[in-house]
Amino acid sequence: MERRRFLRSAVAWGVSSAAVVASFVRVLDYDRSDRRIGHMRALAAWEVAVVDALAERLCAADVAYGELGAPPTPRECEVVAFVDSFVAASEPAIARELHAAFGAVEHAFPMLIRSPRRFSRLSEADRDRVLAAMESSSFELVRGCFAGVKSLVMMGYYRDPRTWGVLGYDGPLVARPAGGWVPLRHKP
Amino acid sequence: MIVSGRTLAHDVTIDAPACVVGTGAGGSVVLRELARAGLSPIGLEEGPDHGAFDQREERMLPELFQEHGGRMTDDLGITVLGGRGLGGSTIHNTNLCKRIPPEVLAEWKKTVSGLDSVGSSFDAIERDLSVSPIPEVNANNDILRRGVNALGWRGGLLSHNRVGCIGSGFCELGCAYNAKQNARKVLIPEALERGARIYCDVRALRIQHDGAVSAVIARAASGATVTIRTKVVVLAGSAVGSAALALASNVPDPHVQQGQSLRIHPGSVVAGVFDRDIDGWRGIPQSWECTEHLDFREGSEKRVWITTAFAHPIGTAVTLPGFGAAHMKMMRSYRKLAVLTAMVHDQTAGRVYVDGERPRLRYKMLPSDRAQMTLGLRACAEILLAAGAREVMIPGVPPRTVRRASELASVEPRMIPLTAVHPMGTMRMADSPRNGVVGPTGEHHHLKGLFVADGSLFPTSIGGPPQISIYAFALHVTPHIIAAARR
Ligand SMILES: Cc1cc2nc3c(=O)[nH]c(=O)nc-3n(C[C@H](O)[C@H](O)[C@H](O)COP(=O)(O)OP(=O)(O)OC[C@H]3O[C@@H](n4cnc5c(N)ncnc54)[C@H](O)[C@@H]3O)c2cc1C
Ligand code: SF4
Repeated sequence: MERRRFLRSAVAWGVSSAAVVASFVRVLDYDRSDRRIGHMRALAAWEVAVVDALAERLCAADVAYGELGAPPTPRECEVVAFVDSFVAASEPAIARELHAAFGAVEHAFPMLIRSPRRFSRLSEADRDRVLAAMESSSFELVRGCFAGVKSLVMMGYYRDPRTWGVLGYDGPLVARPAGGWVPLRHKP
Repeated sequence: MIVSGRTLAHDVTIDAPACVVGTGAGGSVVLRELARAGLSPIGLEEGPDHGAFDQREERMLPELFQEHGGRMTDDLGITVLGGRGLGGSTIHNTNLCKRIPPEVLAEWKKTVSGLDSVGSSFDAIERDLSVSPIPEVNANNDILRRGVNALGWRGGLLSHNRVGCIGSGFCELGCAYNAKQNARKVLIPEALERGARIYCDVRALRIQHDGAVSAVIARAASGATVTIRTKVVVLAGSAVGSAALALASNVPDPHVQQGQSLRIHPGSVVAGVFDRDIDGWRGIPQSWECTEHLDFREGSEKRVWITTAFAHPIGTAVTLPGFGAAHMKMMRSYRKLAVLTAMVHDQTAGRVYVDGERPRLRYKMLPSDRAQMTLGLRACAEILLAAGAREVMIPGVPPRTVRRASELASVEPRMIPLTAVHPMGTMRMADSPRNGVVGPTGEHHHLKGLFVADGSLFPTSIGGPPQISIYAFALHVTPHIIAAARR
């Protein structure tokens, strides 16, 4: 077998076996007190933790939250609820891939920085290292996984009109003035 | 009559002279022509008849695109976008209209007979769709124009199919003003008036055949089974959907041609940051092109088509590299960004295959096409810098920020994130069954009554926006489809 293909299969095997192992342990030991969990249609408690952790880092602000010009937080934008509804509306084959991607982020990709810990338990700096390693991986599968979760989270975040003030985007023409414009937090 | 498969309470069986699978550029032409011939065809469309276009990305992107906009090659390397719903990809496309380059058509004529008359199909479809030069150039396209002119490169204004456009800029999310002269607005209404019946939210699963076509078996969104008994089936589900249906139906294919030769025009984008506001989301999104690196002569190593590619916030957030604070900082430049895309007139032959009911794509870019991608990205950067960009961001791992054209020679982007919006060529036309799936009439070489009339007909890539050529080629094969339906 050609080397690249072998390596790709090895990564695919690693990711899927990690996800299988993870499927036994991942349901354990997650915070279930989060009130959002009861409202989820597709995401399990562990996935709520993973998507939260992803969104916090992928959409981390360049200005401290609360300061003038700071964007809304991913929690304020209800990124997790959006991702849940997206997965719930997806065809079963696609939903399965998304669940597998969250499993791989949580249990397999921390290995990219040689960490045995789950993604949702890593420090912010280590989560950033995992995400950077995913984005720059030489394996298309890993980069594709990064692109997939990034797209989903960015969609959940930038759909919120409160983020548009930061961008200077004035929203849909059919609904102007766009709801949720936040001029007070928009940097002049 | 349009029937939604969501409302079908029980299984239905329909007898029809012809059944057209897919209602995009190709399918809509065939439906109208069959209806004009008094043949009352049945159309099957797996997606819905889209209602309101509310200009919200998070709602429209998943609704308008296959697999919620997440369709990718099987190695997750390339996002491949295609439409899903009545009107197919013509609902969300950006309405550029450009004929197939004469050099490419001349090449096709070597393996496909009867193409001398295709010119009249182009004339007819351009009239139907009111194709005309684009009347405005927005700020993002003006940057392309200024950069190209400053470099002394070749470029020009494009044509489109819009009437009553207010320049809202939301084309990729469907037009809320019904200004697109697309399949849904122009061709499908006439087909319906003249007796076509279209079942939306109904997915064709299998073509039944026994030496000749006998039926299409489909599943409605309600779960009901729809059976169309017919002796003529027209595949118009796009280069992905049509090949997948042929493969899932075990259509005879002794020379292993079905699903092969997939071309996609792989592309990527370069963003430039300017000192002034561009507000690239306002106005007609694409109106100008750069053809400096496009030469269709045989053996040419210039195979890159460049145009603009501005997106709304979600599209931009997804496209810009990185994440977190650095990404947010770039997003704050949203108003000051200009974005160009380079698409490769590709030679790579990918393929479509099926995994259960799901179409899958394999596409491993040839080194020669990768070299073209690099050429294209460098050219985009050069144009942006020539137009006055403070800096440009070139995708790849790692992404590069460049401030001077002299730095570009050393830019060798690796692992470029790619997107493709023009799948073509998986059921290609050829006189010889060894070189293609269908003959010059569009009829399958090995299955009587099975026709193809969409982008999958193309023998090669065409190096530019394909919709007009798809409409025209569908029109070109319809007389043969009508004759078969009357047989
Ligand atoms: C973002 C974007 C922008 C574009 N902009 C331009 C542009 O400016 N100019 C240009 O020339 N081209 C553009 N294109 C490309 C162009 O729109 C397509 O090439 C063209 O519409 C393809 O026509 P088609 O008939 O092959 O397939 P489509 O128009 O894609 O139609 C295929 C239809 O078949 C349906 N279908 C598939 N399988 C089945 C099944 N099994 N059962 C029932 N239904 C099925 C699909 O749901 C779909 O509606 C763009 C494409 C994209 C994605
Ligand atoms: S730019 Fe024109 S065609 Fe495009 S969505 Fe706006 S009004 Fe419609």
